[in-house]
Amino acid sequence: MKAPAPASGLARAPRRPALRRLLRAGLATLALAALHEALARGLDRPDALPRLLSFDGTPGAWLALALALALFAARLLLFVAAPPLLAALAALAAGEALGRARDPAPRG
Amino acid sequence: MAVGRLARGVVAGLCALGALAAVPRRLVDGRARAFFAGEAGVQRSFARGVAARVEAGVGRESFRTGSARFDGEWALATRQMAVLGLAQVALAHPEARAELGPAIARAADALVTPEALAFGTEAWGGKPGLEALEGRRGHAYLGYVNLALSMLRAFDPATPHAALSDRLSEAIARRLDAAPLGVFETYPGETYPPDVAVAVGSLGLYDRATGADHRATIGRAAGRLREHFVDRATGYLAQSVDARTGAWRDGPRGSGTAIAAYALAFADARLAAELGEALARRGLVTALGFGAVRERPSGDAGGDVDSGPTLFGVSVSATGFALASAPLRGDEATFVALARTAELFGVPREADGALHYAGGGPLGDAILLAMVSAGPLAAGQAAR
Repeated sequence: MKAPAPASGLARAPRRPALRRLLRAGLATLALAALHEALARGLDRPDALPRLLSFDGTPGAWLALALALALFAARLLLFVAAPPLLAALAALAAGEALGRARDPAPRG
Repeated sequence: MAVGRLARGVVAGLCALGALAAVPRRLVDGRARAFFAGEAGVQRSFARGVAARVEAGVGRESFRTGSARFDGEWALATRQMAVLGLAQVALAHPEARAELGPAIARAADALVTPEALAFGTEAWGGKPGLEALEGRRGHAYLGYVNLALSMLRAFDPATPHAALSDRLSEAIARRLDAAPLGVFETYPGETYPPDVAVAVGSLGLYDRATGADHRATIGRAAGRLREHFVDRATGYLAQSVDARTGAWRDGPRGSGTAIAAYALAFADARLAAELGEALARRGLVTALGFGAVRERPSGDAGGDVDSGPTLFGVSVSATGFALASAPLRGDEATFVALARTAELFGVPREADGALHYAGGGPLGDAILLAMVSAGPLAAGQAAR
């Protein structure tokens, strides 16, 4: 039986799922921040808040309500949920890196 | 291996909890603490934002509550709170006088026009409140106007509205003295102790600004408010009562208690502190360093035009107005917790050195400025 060919250096690099998750979460947070900014600009339009405060069931009022709810949800995610999530993922990534340092992959 | 994974999970969980407890509040802390410290930069920036909103024009047509009276009340409150907030900032930071003076003057001019007070005129059958100052009854909403005019006197003793401020203050003093229970009607058949508290506060501020002396009237009125309309169990102020019998029509409410605490600080520091203390003791709800105030001390939900939106029993108005009384009691922790909430849900936007809150609108911004800048002429203010 033929022995498998040695893999390239990149392919042999051990996977680091925690770090990947942290990077993905960081990118998602940046995207959320951009979305938040767009929503905040929307609510800041002069006609948005009056429509919301005098909700009358018209499409414009529903749009203002959806905008406000999306904005507040984005703010809660960004300011309250994201920090602990990123902290936990950073801790996992650090643990992963420590584990690798203690038990390095054999050089091929 | 499993133990290592478990240990990593525990550490990650602890990190998440630590971050949850420490980070969200820090993200909105800067401006909250700057407001408490009365820092010129943040106060002037916010004052510019409020001045721009008011200068852009505010009237009944700016609001669509579904009630012409409420639209008028909100327009009046926007201008009144703008005068209070802008003048408080200018008094605390004299270098801002020239910049804010014109906006203060124009907001005050617009405050006393027949159009601005039309909602009260309509409620009283067509008789304008400012043309019926010799009477001994009603128009307690004019207390809000008088509070702003008294602040204007403090800011600019030579204001063209000085004579009106004199006549209005005397009218309010007469009505307070004539009322058997110390309260008089806002509209026919409608009496609100918070409105009366604002009228009492306006007299106190008028005395401070002009050197007049209404201490006897203020003392009697504050005593009657405390005796008849402060809930003994909770310390909150009744929202709506019968002026003749003193019977309560609506229970104690956070929004009314908090605005009363702000205004009374100009007249009776003790009663103001008692109301503020009640809000902190019975109304304050905190989570993760964010604070809000219950509209009803029982925690019941349900909002109206006075409370604004409510969520889990806490209201926008009670939370916003309570910002003023915390610093007057030297209570930095409560102020910062409430201000963090305003930062989180108010959606602050700052451009070209002018701050405003997208979630506040002209009225919300004007109220917030008046509340976070409360102090320069308030009675019994603790050293910051």
